[in-house]
Amino acid sequence: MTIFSSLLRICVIIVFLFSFLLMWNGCAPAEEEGTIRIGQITNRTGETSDVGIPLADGVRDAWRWINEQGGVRERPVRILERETGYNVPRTIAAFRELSGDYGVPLIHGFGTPDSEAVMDLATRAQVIYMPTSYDERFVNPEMAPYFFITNTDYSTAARSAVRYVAEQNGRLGLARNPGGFGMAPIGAIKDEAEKVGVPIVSEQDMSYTPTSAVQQSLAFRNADATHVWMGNTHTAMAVLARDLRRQESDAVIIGNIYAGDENFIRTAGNDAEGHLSLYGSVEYGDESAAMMEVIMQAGYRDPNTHYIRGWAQALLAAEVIGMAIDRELEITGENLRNMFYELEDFSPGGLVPPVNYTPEDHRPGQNSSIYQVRDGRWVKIWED
Amino acid sequence: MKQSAEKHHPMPNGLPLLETQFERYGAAAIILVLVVGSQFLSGYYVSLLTTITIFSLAAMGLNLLSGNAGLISIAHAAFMGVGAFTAAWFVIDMGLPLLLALLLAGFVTAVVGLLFGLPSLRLSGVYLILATFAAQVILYWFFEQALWLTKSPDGRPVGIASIAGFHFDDSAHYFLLVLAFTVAGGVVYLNLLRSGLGRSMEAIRDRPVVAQLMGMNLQKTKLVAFATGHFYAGLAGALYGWHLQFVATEAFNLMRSIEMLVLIIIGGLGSLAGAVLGAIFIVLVPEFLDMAGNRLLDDVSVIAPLRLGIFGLLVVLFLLYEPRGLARSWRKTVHLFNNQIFKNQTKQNRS
Repeated sequence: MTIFSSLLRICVIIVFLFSFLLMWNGCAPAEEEGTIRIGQITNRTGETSDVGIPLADGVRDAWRWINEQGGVRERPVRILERETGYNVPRTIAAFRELSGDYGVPLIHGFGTPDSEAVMDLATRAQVIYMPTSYDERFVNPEMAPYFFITNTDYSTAARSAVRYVAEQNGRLGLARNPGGFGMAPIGAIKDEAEKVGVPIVSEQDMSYTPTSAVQQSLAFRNADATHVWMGNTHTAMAVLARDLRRQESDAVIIGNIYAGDENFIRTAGNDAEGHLSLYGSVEYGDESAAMMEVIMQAGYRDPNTHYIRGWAQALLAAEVIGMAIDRELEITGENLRNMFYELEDFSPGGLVPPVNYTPEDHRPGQNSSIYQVRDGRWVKIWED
Repeated sequence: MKQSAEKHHPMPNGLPLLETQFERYGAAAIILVLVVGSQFLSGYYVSLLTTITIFSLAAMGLNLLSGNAGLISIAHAAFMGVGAFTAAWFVIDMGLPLLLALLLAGFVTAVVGLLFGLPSLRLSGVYLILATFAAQVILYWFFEQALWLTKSPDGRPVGIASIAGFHFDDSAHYFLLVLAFTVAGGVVYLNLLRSGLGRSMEAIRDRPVVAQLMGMNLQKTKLVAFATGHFYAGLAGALYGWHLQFVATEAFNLMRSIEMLVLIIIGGLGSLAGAVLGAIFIVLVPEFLDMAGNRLLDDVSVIAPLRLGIFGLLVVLFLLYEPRGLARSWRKTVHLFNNQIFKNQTKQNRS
């Protein structure tokens, strides 16, 4: 046995013993009386962490600010974050830990597959789950009675995009990711296109991080597509914008909320100009939003729409918790769910469009606005 | 003496499943502690235990394939996916009982494994790895596209496991079911290794030409290894689906397949202890790093990337300084205890 392997074994034993000690001695930080525990499941290391990090930081910074103001109705809030790297099994384990061991009434979540995987668990545990994926299934109370989102779901937003194309007498192409996130609104798009008479001229698959979209660009050019709906990431949208230009196609991309963001403008450079997005919040720096000044004071290193929507989600959660406290209700998932139904045209900090929920329909809004890249910034050009 | 040997070695062909008294008592004690202890743990720790147990079962299959038969595969997770989706289809769409569905899922996965194993008859080394990579890609693509089976590209919910009217509402009860399958899988694995077939596998792995010259059927042995290894994968995948209560496509991606290979290398190739210890390492170390980080730094944005880095570093260190895996360290520790505590019994066994 070499000295290194002996050392290694000793290190491993120490790590295990240390971890066991940490587990069993209950060395969790002391909590003030009346502290409300909230869970947060984040993606800081997995695929799509480029949006997972600002979303997570937005939620965290918002709760930090709320606590600095004295908490929700003077009750401090403790955020228990579990980083699961967009990994479904880890998300399920984290959900069980947060809802079972810590008894949190509300959890901030992340993406489509991981949130879908905890739908049944959230129903059984009666825990509010707030994903930042806006999949159509998450706004159906029959399937996900405890799910609440801050922005128009992908399908409803995509229907708005189709109506926009109809107004332009356009021909629509679809550049979709073959996973659940990209495929979710395809049915809704086709139904709406048929309804308003927009021809769908080409359907192309694209991965999250392609290096080339020449084949797809040629297909859209040859099909005379005037617009291309894109359910993907900013990386894929930037590659498509570049290759559409190279293949001399005039098609304009309409990116969904995770494709058409600030990172798209940064990555695509001049190729971004003129392309569209179903952008989901006010732009950073838009001081017409009540909370923008506070957000700007937080001094986040890389503010974007995802960071702002993170703030909006935490402010929405704080509002319903506050309502429950005002009514002297216990902070449980069931009571918080009822508080969501009492909201009327509530816009968290003015950061996202006003939200309304009913026991029959958890869609926060019925339509989406369209933004365009002009001189390197997102500018609202059309409202449904 | 003969009577004494028979008394201590009641298994066929004179070799016990576990070599020493310490191992036999130790295994029984571990199973007992797991059965009793799991009923008192919180849901989170039971969830970790269940994951370790399922990964151990899956790793036995991969160990048989890669560790014992020398057929390196980077598609094991995809075959777990075949088992998981098939079992979900049998139970939810066909209305079969769960126990039957679990076994059938294992058999279906074995058949699919055989089909993908056919090219291995002519391939070895890096070419075989590439062939298994193709299997991983094809099967994963199939999961995303075959919506009649998977219902959505992300997977499908399966609800709570239920056998003969008993609902496994409590995750600790479901753990017992998983443990039963894994213990049975372990007994079969050890028996298989002691059989002629097991030895043929190892002979083909170490000296394929000599093995053929001695009359061993190379093709048949490889195909049996593929079928058996993937039966384990299918069964483990199906159990995993009901553990998560959701058969997630993403849970069976290429990264998970590579993770399974890392698992058996860190644990120790070709041994039961390697499969179990590797599963403990793969599941617990990231959790412990998370837990320690949360307590010490209280800032997940710093801990999360660190966790990945430290985990990667630990894997590299193990490969450098303990290339034969944790099982070797375990065996040394066992022998140490054995020599000290069960000295007399060991001498008696040897005689």
